[in-house]
Amino acid sequence: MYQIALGDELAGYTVIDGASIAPPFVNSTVYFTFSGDPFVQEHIDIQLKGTSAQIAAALATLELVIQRSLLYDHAAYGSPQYLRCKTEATADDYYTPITEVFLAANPAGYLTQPVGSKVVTLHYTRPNYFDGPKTNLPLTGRGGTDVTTGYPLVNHTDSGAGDGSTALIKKADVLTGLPAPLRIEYTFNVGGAAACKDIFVGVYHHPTYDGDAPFFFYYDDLAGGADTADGSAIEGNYKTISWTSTAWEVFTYGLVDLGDIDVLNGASYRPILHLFSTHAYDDLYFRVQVQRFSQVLFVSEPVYSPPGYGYLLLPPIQLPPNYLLREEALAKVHIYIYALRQSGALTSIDIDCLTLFPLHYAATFNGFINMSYLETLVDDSHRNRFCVWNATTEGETVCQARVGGPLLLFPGSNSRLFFYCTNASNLMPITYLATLKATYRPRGRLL
Amino acid sequence: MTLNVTIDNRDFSSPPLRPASFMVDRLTWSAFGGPDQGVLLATAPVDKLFEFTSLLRCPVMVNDQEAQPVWWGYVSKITILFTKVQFTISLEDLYNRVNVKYAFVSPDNRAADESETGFAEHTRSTAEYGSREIVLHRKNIDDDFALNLRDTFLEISALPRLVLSPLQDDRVAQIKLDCQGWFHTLDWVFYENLEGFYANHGPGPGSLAFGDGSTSYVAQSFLPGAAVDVKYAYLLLRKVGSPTSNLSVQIRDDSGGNPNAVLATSQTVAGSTFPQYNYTWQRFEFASAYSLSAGTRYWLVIDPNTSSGANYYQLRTDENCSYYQDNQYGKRYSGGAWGYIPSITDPGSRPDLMFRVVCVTDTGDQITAIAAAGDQFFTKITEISSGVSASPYRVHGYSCFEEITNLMALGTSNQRLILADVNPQRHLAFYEQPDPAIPTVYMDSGGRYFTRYMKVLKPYHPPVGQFAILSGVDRLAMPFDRLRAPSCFVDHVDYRPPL
Repeated sequence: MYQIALGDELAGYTVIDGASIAPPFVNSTVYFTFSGDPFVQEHIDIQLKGTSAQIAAALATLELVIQRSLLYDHAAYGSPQYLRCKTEATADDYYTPITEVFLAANPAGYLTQPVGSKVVTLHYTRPNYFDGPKTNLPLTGRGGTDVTTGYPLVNHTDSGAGDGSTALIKKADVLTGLPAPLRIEYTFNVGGAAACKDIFVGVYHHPTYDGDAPFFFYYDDLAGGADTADGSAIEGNYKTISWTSTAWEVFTYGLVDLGDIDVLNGASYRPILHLFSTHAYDDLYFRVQVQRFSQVLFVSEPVYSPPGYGYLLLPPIQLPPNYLLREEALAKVHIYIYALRQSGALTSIDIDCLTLFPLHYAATFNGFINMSYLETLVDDSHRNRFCVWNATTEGETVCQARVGGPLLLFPGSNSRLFFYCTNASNLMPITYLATLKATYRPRGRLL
Repeated sequence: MTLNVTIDNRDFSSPPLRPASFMVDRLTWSAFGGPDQGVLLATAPVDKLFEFTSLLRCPVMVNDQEAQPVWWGYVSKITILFTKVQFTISLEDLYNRVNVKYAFVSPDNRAADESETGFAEHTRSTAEYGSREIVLHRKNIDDDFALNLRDTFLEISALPRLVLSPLQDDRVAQIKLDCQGWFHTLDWVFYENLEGFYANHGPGPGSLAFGDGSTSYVAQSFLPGAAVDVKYAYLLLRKVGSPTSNLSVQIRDDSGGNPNAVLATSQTVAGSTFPQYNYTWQRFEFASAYSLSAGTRYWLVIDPNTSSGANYYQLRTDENCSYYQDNQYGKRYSGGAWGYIPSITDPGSRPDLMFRVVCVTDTGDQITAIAAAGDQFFTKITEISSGVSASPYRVHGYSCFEEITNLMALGTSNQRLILADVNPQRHLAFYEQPDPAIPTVYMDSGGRYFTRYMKVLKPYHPPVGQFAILSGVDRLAMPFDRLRAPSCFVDHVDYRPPL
């Protein structure tokens, strides 16, 4: 090993072995554990040589690592403590966060310290991986090709020029052995009184497919209702669906055709219905069904459609449902949306887009403070932290509660990042703009 | 992690040093009152053990390492263990205000009227521990029996009762304090409110025709003792013939012992729906509850809205004049003047009507009034406006605690529960359960609670009274998921620190 260090990027690292080591640290031996478990327990023998005061100072430095690790656990410190390893001079640094850290020493260690040496053992638990250096990701899509300086996102996707709410990360740009942690910087880019409240992020991956067509259903992809041309609707049209019933009724449905079902690849998606205009009903419920023509393959639980919302989040569905042998081509399926108005009164809903929002890796940022012009949501799945950069003071703050797991890039795959945002009135304005930057850290099991 | 226990004197002054320090064995919190139960343990030299008996009803405060209050309440039971003896002293059986409600025995040995002795108080005990009331219910006893029962029971129960039990094995000298939150002290006092429901159910004989061409209106006076809002009135009515009019009742003020100006008029009731041969209670509702002032006589007046010698109405009167408010009576308007209702069985008396006047108030106001009635230790009570109305009349024989918890379960006009908390300064606050569609607490995959500001909540600062969801999965989508996966309401938390 060329170098081993402990610490973090905020407070710096202490080299405990190899290049640039400083007294009283002499060398260290890491006893790596190899297993398939998500976490492993290991220890490092650290040799110290110097004056008693130098050794005491070194021990204090190691204790500080422990204290910062505890503080991070209680959200009182901004970074985990890392074990940083560099295999050769020209190699990249690799990091693994350490927790449950404690120091031990030879029982007779207190006798050797006054004469200038001590061996201590640092015990810790770490996830069973190492993360590499932060690496910029070129983003491609309707807003440009291989953009690294800020990819333009629009809050909807349709055939309009540049109208894309997704960005592609090509598999050639991601070199990782394990699913790699993603860091996104999402800058809200609408001036004036506009405000960004909730942000939805999802990551889709596929070994070869790099398009965005299967995920969006427009007025002409959805059955039923009456279509009206309107320049302010997604794809220039919205669909009005009306019914009068006290029972569950078919609201609309769309076909996932042979080519698309293969692309969807058995993953989970959250159908998001974009409402062209809000409704005022307080007894309206929706559910989603996956059907193969009339054969029902899956029925979701119902969700409530709150009045005044410009969108509806339906329960996740797997497409195609269940795991199949994949020896034949997958059958096409229909995605049915059912609706129930409890009162049975005449109900009329305007929609313009149904999105299959990927959930394989996904997070929702539920805003309790609205983001304004040029404020940036930063979500770092490597450090398991997120924040908002305030545009005027350039300070960090927190505006959202994050729900969801880490955002990762699957190895050997194209990854497409999906975004939607809402405003303070719980609408999903299709003209909202944002700028996206993305980085990742390659992740591997072995150094 | 260390939790520090402080026990003050009963009068909330700080004591000299206690001869032992207590460890927390268990703490619980409830969304319906805040700190709920606590168990504290300590060891002490045998010769100091019995000094701890003086801690009964003393205020307890548990603080964390940062001196933040964690739990607070009072000592409700003390258990001392040493060698083979268990010594227990408790507030459970302590009562220092005693009332006996009883059914009187008549000379022929039949149960006659019901009566009560009124509360007798052991003032030394109430000064020391606060009022702890009990009402004893007995049948077939006489006045003297009831009074002696009350006084003997009071003398026996006014001071803490001691229980000594032998133990099989030798025990290390140990003190165990069972503690309760201050909200429980509302259970120490009974609540009664005779205002808001004015009624006479007789059972005297009597009836009166009206709307028959002879009597135009019939009225009954009543006297609210507190400001209340009348919402409903009931009268025992039947029809004679086939009247088709719509009846209403009025609230009128008084002028010289007669009904005067109309203050409020109820919605109408179709007289055709009344039964022909038997009397039934007919309900009249005021669209908006009308406010009545305390200490002012009002008249409940029924307007038949018809005058026919063949098709009219009849109502039940009470010639026994049973209505409990003195000098309140019925009147009828006949021949252009108000006069007393005639009595066949007792000519010259002033018969009442059989009637009910039901008043309603906001249940939040009622909770505040009941809490104020049961308040012995709170420094402040913050009220809530629930938007829900109900009658404030209470003669159920329930404690303030029971009455309040019943009303809290009734909830608000948003169909959410009413919650209560007592803060470290013993400020009792009632508030509406938060919106389930907006969880304020998240649980991560490690089972830890944290706020939406990413502040990790220590297990001894639990998010009681809040809604929580899982944060590690993106499968949940509030508020859309209120049917599919409703957020979890944290109504009670039980914490046992690692020893």
